[in-house]
Amino acid sequence: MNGERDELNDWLAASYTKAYRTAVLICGNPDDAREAVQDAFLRTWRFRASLPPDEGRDPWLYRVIVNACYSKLRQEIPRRDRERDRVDSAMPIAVSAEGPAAHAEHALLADTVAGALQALPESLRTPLVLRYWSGLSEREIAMAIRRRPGTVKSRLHEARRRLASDPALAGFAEELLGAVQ
Amino acid sequence: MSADELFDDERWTAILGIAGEAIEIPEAGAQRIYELAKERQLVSVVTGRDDGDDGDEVRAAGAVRRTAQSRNRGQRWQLIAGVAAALTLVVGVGGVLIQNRGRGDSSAKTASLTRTTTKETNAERAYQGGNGPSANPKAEPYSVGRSANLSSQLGYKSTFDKAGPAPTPAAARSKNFAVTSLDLTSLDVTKLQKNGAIDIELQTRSLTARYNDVQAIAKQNGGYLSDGKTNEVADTPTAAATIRVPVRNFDTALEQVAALAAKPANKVVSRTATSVDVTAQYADVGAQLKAATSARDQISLLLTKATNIGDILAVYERLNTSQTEVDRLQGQINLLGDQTAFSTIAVTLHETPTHAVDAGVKPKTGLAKAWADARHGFGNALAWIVARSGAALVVLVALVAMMLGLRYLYPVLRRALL
Repeated sequence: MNGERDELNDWLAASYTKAYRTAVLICGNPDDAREAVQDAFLRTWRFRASLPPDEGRDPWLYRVIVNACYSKLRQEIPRRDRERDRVDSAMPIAVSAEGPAAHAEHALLADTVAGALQALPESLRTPLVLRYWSGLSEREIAMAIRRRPGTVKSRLHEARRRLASDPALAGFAEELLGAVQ
Repeated sequence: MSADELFDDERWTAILGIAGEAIEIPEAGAQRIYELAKERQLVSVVTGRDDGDDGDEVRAAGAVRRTAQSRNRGQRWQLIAGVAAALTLVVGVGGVLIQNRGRGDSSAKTASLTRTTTKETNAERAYQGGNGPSANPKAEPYSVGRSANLSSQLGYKSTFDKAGPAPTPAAARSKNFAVTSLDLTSLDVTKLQKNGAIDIELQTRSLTARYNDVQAIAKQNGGYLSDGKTNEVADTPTAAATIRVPVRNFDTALEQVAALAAKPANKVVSRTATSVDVTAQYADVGAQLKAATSARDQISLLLTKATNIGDILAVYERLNTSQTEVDRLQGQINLLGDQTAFSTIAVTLHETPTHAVDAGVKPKTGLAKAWADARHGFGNALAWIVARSGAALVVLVALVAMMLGLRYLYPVLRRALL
């Protein structure tokens, strides 16, 4: 019993960082993301008896997180309040170890990518985040968002196309190429 | 150069990584959630041990139970689905069996009351339903006696009793037959409906004489010919007579009719006798009649106390309804009394066809008999399957509907719970 609890706790603790950042990228708001991840983890605790085997746990967890994020996004909060919160609690940027200038450049780049992501509709943003940030396969994404793999594939394509045509992101193409090399 | 042309999957991963890695993680985020889970007792199974609270057995037991319940939830759904399927199957099969058993019991009951004495039994001939004494003027004397007998059995104190002479049957069955009281204790005599049927094959040119004999037997036993019909066909003349005799003379009359086939050239083709005990039905209808009569009397009393037109009309309407009910029950009592006072014997007479011997119809033997039996068996089996296909179809549809429901409902519920 204790072994199971420890294993679950360790897995959740190890998953927290990636899960939280996934939620932030989907919700676009750290407060919503924190609550969504909290709800998702509590649900995981509550329904731990229904947890799938090891290889299916991550998709299962991300499905719960996506549901929690959607639930937060659909709450009856006026859009202007959400936008204000987004500004007030703009995504906190981790401090770079390469110095203030590098930190500022990195922060600007991250902010540009995050802004481009938020410009996408959530139906396109979610599969993109799950694919290229969370590292889920198209099949696992299909399970997480309850869509067919073909739908996921087309949405990913459309998300990439829109993101690539984002003028702010295009302006940083050279910087992005440099950053990812 | 656009970003779309520059970036492949690996670079998209790196770009999303820029945005993701830059997000600051709340301090002790996971630990805080774990503490919250403990507060909500989602992990209370280990709370006591973690906090050194080993002595709290109640909490530990509760936590273990909750954990076990949670773990078994998935299995429980499967169990519920299985039990539901089993219940549906049992109810369906049970319903079919009960339905069939009911038919079987009914058949057995009929069989137990039917005494077959010859090689063939034709239950449908057992009772053809006579038209009653009024159909024949000769029935009048017996009807009077029967009516008086019925009245005494029921314990009626009728207006006719007070008048002295027994009423005619027509009067006894009229709606004005006023029953003022009914003594149910007088119903200690068993009420039996006895009916019989006999089919006699006669030698040629003796049918008319035997038909007259049947009428004489009815009269001799205190009964009457209820219905009679002759059919003078050239080769096979037939006659059907329905006689009614007092129940006490039923066996005698049946024997006498059967004795008409005593000559070697005649024979009894079939003979049946049924006896049905209607005592309970008789008592039940009698009790209902008593209650309805009482209610009608009460309403009549109210009519005398009504003071305005509205009340009078309302009470009168109720009185009419009540009187109708009394008349209906009275009719049932009269019918039961008639059926238990007089038994019915349906006699069928037919002459042997003159060409029957020449027809050369031989009983089937060997392969021909086997083939005929096979055809008969095939027909019976087919009829059995068709007769039960309705109930089986209901069970099948219920099972399919339940399986489909579980198939689509279970994932929905599971998703809702998550």
